[in-house]
Amino acid sequence: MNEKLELDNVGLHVLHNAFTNIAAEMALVMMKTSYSTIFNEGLDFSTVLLDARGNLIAEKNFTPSMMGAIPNTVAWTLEEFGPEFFSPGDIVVHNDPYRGQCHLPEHMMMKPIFLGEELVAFSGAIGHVAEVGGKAPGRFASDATDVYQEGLRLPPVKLMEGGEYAEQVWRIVLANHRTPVNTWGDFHAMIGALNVGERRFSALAERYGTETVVDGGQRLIDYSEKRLRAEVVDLPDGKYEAEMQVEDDGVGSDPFTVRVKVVIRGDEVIADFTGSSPQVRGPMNCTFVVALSAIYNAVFCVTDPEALIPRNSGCYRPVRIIAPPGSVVNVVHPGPSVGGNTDLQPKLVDLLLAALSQAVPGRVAASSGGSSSNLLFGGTHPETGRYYSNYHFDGMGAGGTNEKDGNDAEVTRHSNCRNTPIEVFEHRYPLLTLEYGMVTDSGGAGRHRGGLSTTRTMRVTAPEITFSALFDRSRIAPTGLFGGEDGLGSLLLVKRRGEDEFRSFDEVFGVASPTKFTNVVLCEGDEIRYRTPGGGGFGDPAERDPEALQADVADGYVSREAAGRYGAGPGPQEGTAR
Amino acid sequence: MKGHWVEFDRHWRDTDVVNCQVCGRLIPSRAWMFDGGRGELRSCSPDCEEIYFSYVEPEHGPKEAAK
Repeated sequence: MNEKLELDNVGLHVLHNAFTNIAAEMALVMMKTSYSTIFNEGLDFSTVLLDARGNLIAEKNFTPSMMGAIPNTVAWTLEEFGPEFFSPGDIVVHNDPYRGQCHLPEHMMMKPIFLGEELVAFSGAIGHVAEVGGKAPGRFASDATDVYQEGLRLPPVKLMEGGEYAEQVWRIVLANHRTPVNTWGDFHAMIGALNVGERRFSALAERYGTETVVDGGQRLIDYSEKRLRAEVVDLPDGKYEAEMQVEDDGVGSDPFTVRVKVVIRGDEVIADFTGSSPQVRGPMNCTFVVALSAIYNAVFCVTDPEALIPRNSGCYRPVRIIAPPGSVVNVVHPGPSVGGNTDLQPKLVDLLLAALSQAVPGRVAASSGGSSSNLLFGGTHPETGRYYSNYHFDGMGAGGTNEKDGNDAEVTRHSNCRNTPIEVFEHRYPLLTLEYGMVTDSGGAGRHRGGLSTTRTMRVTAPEITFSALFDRSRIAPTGLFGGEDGLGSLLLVKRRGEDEFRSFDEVFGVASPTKFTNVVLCEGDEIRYRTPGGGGFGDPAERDPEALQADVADGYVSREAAGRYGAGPGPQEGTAR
Repeated sequence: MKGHWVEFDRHWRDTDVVNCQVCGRLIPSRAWMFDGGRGELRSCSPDCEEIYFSYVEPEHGPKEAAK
């Protein structure tokens, strides 16, 4: 006998909390059982529940960059193969960027949930797998010119069939990843999360009845759609345009252009990217779902920044996109796309907010640092003799807003990821951290200044290490808004053992780009130093609260010299050098 | 809406993917075809026929027909 649950406002709230708690428990499973730091420290994954058609019901979304991919990956798999493709105990994996994924490292796993013989839902986990093969350890080939150089591409295939290993698929995957032990562990962390999601959803259906739980999911989706449309109606109708230059694609040194026209008409928003550059040769292209994630992100920022509306597919329905295939915002085969997710997507959010600043100036932010500042390295660990590989990112400055300064040292605005603690990092990898901190004066001056970026210096402690990077915003700085100044751009330097000075990688190694390169070999004693980009300032610096400026100088966030940019300066109190 | 659905007849060895001519979305298995003024357009859903006539065509002009 099921427990009675009326699907009124209270009942829906109970169900919403139950669904989101299931998603959160799934996330804990991944965090606690995964092998790679990108999952258990970086939290570069999301866990979700979806309905039988692939609509999102609930999420623990650590990473908003995945919003566009999550529902579409499942829905398009269903559309391509039909629901009969799925049987109880199956788990399907998929990382195909042309079929709904963000880029090759992102793997979506989906498990059908059957109650009796009926497919009623899916549990899902999407995560950035640390190593997927390809030309560069850490699978960020920043000079890749096609998808085949980026790693192993999996269309939707079954990893588990009826609860049993699909051994042939596993053998292919493990043979093509450089660190198969990590893949084994991380894939099983995802599988464990899916199994927990399945069990908890089934228990919920057992408690309240399948019909109540399934129907409740649909009503929550409809409720969210209604709420978000009501927020969009409050935005002023109109067409709001913006354009940006991106400094290079990793292969050439020419910039490319992204244009957007945001159309608000009644209760819907259209983001039209017509007029953006054709897809570029290097991996700075983004996939359709990445552009979709960016517009969801921007719309949520201006309509529901506190996430009061349940985040499910209903929130996506009022948002439409026009992303021309073959452009930088919708790459087609065989174009590469690994940097489009990490380094174009955050800038797309900036661009969309710049367009929306004309409609709702008080609800947007200046440009964020806009680069995940990706560092990749691998080699044979001198202590274990085993091959290792890692994907590493650090915090940057967020843009100032109408309400406050930009956050300091925050991992990009399209993720909620964390940095990896130095102790964990040094335990795992042969790199010694010599310096780690925030960069004085890296936030753009403004009524509300941009957030500070970070800097780190590391020394190689292995005989050699293969090193790659994909940084952006080194030549085109994050822009300020409404009179705010630009943030400080990024920087990536190397000092060879025995030398006195840090120099750029293009100077030392002859690579095409100083911040985007692949497979440079560093030796024991070599040091790397980088600086991530700072956030843009918001509003006229002369309008900054003098007390806030004084505090910034005292804390070493703003130097006394740079304080002059704020007009009146910090006043009589001495600043403290960092 | 005046369009109609067309199912793809594809073998599993065919690895090509098809995108919507209006919004750019992937079309996994069936397309919504409609006359866009210069011939038939291949789209992902009736919603794209609606947005084509309400926004895309007035804003950018008619699109060329699907090849």
